[in-house]
Parts: sequence; C-alpha cells; structure tokens
Amino acid sequence: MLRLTACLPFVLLAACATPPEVKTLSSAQIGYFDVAIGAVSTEGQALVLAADAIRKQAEVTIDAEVARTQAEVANTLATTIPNLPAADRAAAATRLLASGAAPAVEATASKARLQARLDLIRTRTQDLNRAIEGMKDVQVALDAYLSSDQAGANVSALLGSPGAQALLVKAGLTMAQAKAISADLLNLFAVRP
Amino acid sequence: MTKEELLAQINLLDTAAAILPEPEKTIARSDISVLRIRLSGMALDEVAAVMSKLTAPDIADMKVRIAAVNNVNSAQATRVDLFNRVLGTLISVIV
Repeated sequence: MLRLTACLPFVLLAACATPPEVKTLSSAQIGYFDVAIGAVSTEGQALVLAADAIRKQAEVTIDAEVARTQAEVANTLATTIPNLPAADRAAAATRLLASGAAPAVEATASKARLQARLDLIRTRTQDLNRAIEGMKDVQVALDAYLSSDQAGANVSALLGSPGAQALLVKAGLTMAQAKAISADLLNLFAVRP
Repeated sequence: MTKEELLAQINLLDTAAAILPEPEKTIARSDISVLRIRLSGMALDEVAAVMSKLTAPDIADMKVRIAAVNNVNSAQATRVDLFNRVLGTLISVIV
C-alpha cells in the first residue's frame, strides 16, 4: 500500500505531460501568427492606400463639380439677369446665388465624410492588427504552459493573471474583438444588390 | 439600383434641365450638383445600401417624368414642376 501511494504522484505527473506533437504544434503556431500578423498588416496598408486613392479621386470630382457650378452661376448672373424685367432681377439673383452656394457647402460636408470614413478604416485596420498580435501573445503563453507542464508561473508572468482559464478568457475577448472589427470593415465595403 | 444607374438618372435629369429657361436651368443644375457631390462623398460609404432605397416604381416614375420634361410641347412651368418632382425623389434617397 505504501509503495502504491508513493507511486501515485509520479503517475499523475505522467498523465499531465503534454504530448510532444502538441508542443511542436503549439510552437509552430507562434510562427503562423507571425506570418498572419505580417499578412494582415500588409493587407491593412493596401486597404488604407486604396481607400485614400478613392477619397482623393472623389475630392477631385467634387472640386470639379463645385467649380463648374460656380462658373455657370457667374455666367448666368452676368448674362441672363440683366435681361430680366427690372422687377424680377433681385429675386432671381438671390435665388441664383443661394443655389450656387449650395454645392460648395455640400462639398465641405462630403469631404469631411470621406475623411471620417478613411480615418475609421485606418483605425479599424490597426485595431485588427493589434487583435491578432493579442492572439499571438495568448499562443506564446499557451506554448509556455504546454512546454513546462507546470501551469502557473510562466503564464502568470506573460499575461499578468494566473491559470489556463486566463488564457481562455483573453483568447475569447480577442477573438470577439477581431470578429467585430472585421465585420465593421466588411460593412464599410459591402456591396448590396 | 447601382451607383452607376443612379448617376445615369442624375445625368438624364441634368440633360433635361438644359431645356429649362434661365435662371431656372442654372438653379436646377446647381441642385443636381449637390446630388452628385453627395454621391461622391459617399465613395467610402455604404453607397449600395442607399441605392437600394430606390424602388422599381420610383425609377419608372422618374423615367416618365424626365421624358415629360424633355417634351418641347409642355409649358415651361410644367417642365419645372416635373423636374422638381424627379429631383425630389432623388433627394429623398440620397440626402
């Protein structure tokens, strides 16, 4: 009986040991995260560049529209208004000036809208990158946990909170954040029939 | 309706505005410019979602009215009224 009791801790430790394949996979996963971080970062930069190009093109179109309208209004003021009956001139000129000012006002608002959207896209891509980096942190901690077979010290040091449960909580939060950011980005570029 | 189709409708309206008398023509074209600018400002937005607000009857109605604006036999006041109705439909969707 004494011999059996003395053997029990050893048997339990052996049961907890992480299989070597799992350790290898876990370490490889860290490398995959590095690749994913690089890929997402590159994609994010491309997305921001493309969005910025769209914004610039839209601003060129807007500026051209405003310039064309202002030229037309100026021309009509100079050529048409003097030919109207004197009693109608002031009212017509006032209406013309008001309608001619509207495109410039709309241009300012539309440019602000474009910039706000671009800022949102930029922020969201950065957030997405950070979320994936967070997942890598989780994997690094998990790897340390699996390699040591002594949960606690390494995990605590890496994540600032003890236990494997902390890993799960952090992973869950990070995944939820990544999904939300990804959904936001998809919505921004959604094409609906 | 796609963005291109909506732009085509706006351009049709712009063409129709060309036969309005001055200063109505310039005022009408300024109003159309506001629509185009608003649409350009939505380049990074969910433009498609906005387009889907236009229903098939709206589009058919606009086409009939734009054709009527172009009818040289109509009185100028009628043309301006028809133009403003089409513009109103577009504004209700875009603005």
